[in-house]
Amino acid sequence: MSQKDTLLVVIRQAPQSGHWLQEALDAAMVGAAFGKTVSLLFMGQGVLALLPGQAQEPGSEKPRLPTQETLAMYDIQHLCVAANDLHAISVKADDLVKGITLLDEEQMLDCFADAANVLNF
Amino acid sequence: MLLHIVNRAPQFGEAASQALRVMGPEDKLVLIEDAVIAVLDQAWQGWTLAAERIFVMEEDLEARGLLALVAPEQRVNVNTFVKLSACCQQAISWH
Amino acid sequence: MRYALLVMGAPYVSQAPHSALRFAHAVIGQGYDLESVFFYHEGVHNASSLVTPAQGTTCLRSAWKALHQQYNVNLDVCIAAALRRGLVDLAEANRHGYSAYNVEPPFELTGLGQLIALQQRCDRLITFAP
Repeated sequence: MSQKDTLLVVIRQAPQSGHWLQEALDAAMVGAAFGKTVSLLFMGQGVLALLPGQAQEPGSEKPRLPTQETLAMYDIQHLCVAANDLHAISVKADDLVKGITLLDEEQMLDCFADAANVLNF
Repeated sequence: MLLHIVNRAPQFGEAASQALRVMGPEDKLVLIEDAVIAVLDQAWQGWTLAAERIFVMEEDLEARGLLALVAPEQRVNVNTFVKLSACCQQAISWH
Repeated sequence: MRYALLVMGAPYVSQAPHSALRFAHAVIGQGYDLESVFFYHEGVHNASSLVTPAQGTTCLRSAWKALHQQYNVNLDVCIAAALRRGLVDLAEANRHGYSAYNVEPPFELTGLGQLIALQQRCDRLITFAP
C-alpha cells in the first residue's frame, strides 16, 4: 500500500544530457527537505550516473553525480537501479558507486505501484 | 491503478518499453504526441494489452495522418484523456 | 478533484506546452479545479515575454495568461531552472544588475518546494515533457 509521504524520483536520461540529472536530483532533495521519504530509481541510460570517477569539468555547471554520502545528507536513503538495464550495458553492481540496491523487474513494478507520488525525469 | 502517458514512439526510443515494463495488471496506457506512431508497428508489444487498457490520442493521430489505422474504440480525445487521469490514482509520464 | 500540471517542454520546440494547454482546458471544462501549471526544465521558456511566434501561430504565452485571467490558474516557474536559462523577472534583474527582464506576472518565479507542495495538495499532477 502506498504511504502518503513517499516520493519516487525516476532518472532515465544520461548524466551528461542537458540538465536532466541535476534537475531531477534538485527535485529529490527539495522533496526530502519537505519531509518526503524519497527513493531514487535509475533506469535506462540513467544508470550511467552511478558509475564512479566521472570527472567534473571545472567551471561548468556539471551534474552532481549522486553518491550515497551526499544524498544521505539530504536524508535520501533509498537508491535503486534496474538490474536489467545494468546487464544490458554489461555493467556489474560492483562497478557502481556504493549503496545502490538492485531491483528485478517485479520489484520495479512494486516500486511504482507503492509510491504515493512519482516524478519521472 | 496507474495511468501511464507515453509521448515517444516505441520505434525511436526507450520510453514506451520502459512504461510497459513497470505496468501493473490493472494499469492503463495512453499514447500521445509522437507515441501515436506506434500504430505503424503492429508487432509492438503494447498492442497485446487488453483493449480497455491502451488508448491512442485522436488529435495526435489526425495531425500525423494516422487516424484510419486505429479502431474508434481505441481512440481518445482530450476529454476522455482527462477522465482516464481522474479514474486512475496517479499519472506517470514517459518521455 | 484538484489538478496541477507540470510542463517541462519549451514552446515551439516541443509539443508538450500544446498538449498541456489542451489538457488544462479539458480539466476545467469538466468542472475540475486546476490550481496551477508549474514550469520546470525547458518548460520555463513558456514564461518568456520575448518569445515572438510567427504570424498566424498560437501565442502560447498569451494562452497561458488567458488561462490565469479566466480561471485563476497559477503560473509557477521554477526560479533555479529559469535563471540558468536566461529567464528573469524584475526583482532578479535588479539583483543581478541586468538591463532587462523577461518574466512578468501572471508568471511567478518560485521554488521547487512549490512543486512538491502542489503534488501533495492536488489529487492529480499530470506531466507534459519534451
